[in-house]
Amino acid sequence: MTSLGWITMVVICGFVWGGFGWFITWAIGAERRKSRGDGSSS
Amino acid sequence: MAGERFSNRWGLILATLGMAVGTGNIWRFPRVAASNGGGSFLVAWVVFLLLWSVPLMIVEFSFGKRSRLGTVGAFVKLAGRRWAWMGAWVAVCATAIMCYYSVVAGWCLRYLGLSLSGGLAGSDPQAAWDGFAAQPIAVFFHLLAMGLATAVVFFGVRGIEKVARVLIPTLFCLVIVLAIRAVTLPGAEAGLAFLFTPHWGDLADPRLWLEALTQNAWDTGAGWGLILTYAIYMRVREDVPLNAFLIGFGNNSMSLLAGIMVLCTVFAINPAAQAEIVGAGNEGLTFIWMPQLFGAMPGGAFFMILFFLALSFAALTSLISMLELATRVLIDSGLPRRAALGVVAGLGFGVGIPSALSMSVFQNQDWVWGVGLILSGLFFAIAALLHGVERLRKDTINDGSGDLVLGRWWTVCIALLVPVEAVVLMVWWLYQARGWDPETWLDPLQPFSVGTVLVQWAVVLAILCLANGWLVRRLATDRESRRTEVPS
Repeated sequence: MTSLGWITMVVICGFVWGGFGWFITWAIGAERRKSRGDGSSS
Repeated sequence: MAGERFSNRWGLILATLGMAVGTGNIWRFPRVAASNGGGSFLVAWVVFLLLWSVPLMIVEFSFGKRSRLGTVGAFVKLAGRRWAWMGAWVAVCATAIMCYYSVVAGWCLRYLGLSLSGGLAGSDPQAAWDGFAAQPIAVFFHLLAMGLATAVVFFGVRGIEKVARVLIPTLFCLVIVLAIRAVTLPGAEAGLAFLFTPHWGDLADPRLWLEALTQNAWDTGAGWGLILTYAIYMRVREDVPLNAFLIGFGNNSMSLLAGIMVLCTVFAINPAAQAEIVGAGNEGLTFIWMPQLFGAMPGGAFFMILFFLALSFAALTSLISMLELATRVLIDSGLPRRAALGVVAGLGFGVGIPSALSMSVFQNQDWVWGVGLILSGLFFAIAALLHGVERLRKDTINDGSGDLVLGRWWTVCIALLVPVEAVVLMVWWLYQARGWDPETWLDPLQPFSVGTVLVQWAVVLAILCLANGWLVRRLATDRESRRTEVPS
């Protein structure tokens, strides 16, 4: 694979998988803040 | 049943991911990405994730959260009483897909059984497929798939959540294992090069962008009404934008893994036939070529079981969401869950039988309602405009309960971009279909004609428009009966 192919792979996979991981981490943090804030999640 | 809720955010996320991740991620995305320039296609595909899928998912989440009603009730509550027919169109479209999607889920179950029993080893995959598809045995597996999905939906949202909590993490693990196995095969790098090497000149081709938009419209589940249905059961203080981004990126993560898995396997095992394999269509790739590729791979029998297990899980979790959508619409009109589910499952099985027995019928229904989904997406954007996109953003989405504040970019997407994208996409597909057979393109009896789309849509839209008042009254009657049931 050419270097352009490797770079594209890193950028696309980094954006999509990294984005997924980032939003999961954000959601975990938000859930923790909510449960600390009001003691109830619903 | 009226107060059903997902137990927490993860129940909602996993169930909605189960809805979004379907066979389209595994059998369509790799083919379409490979046929449209690989890396260049992926750029356009990511752009439309942000300009079609995520904005529409946010609309659906907000409609479900605000109305706590299925598609018909949500459109009445947010767009107005005159627009019940648009919500009903969304329901009819998703339900029509459910009828033949159950057949697809049945195929996956059949091949899972064959891979477990070793029935595919040494046999001719083409002969095995021809001896199964469009044969009476396919009806049995259609019934089995519908029965499994019905058993889950019978237990309501808690049943859906419990199943999603097991199947979706397992599905991700299976696809990760298969992708790792594929990239470690000798020669797999050629598959990665095929998938990721961009040809920047291709980005000037409108077709690439339209294919990327189509893939987003068909495999993320945005604009189908399914996310709206699950959002009915989300908690009161639940975030909308963050959940939509999470599901959009999660779905596309799975597609990317599936693309790596399929293309690396193809290029490692049979690079000479890659053009034929990629051009073999969804069923050809999955049920004819993949068994051959696994048969030629060290330890292939084991990995073939994992592949069909993943495909079965993806199909079943999507089928469950479609069944719940139609069931919920009937519940809103006053039927108890069990009766509503019985009607939907019976109807789905009966209407799906012709698709199980004839590939022409199956492909016709896939064509007609696949394009119909784009109209569903347009209807969601129109309903948001009728309600007021800014009003929806400020009052329902940014209501203080969210973790991510939605900016005005979303208003521009829904008010302008999504309607334009939907119209352009529908016109493009119908224009293409005109060229497939210039002599019979208006003949409604041809499976891939423009005529078959227009006639089937016209019949459904005419009935729904005429029944608009009745649909609204059913909702009103149900609300009245609910009020009288509540003890004072």
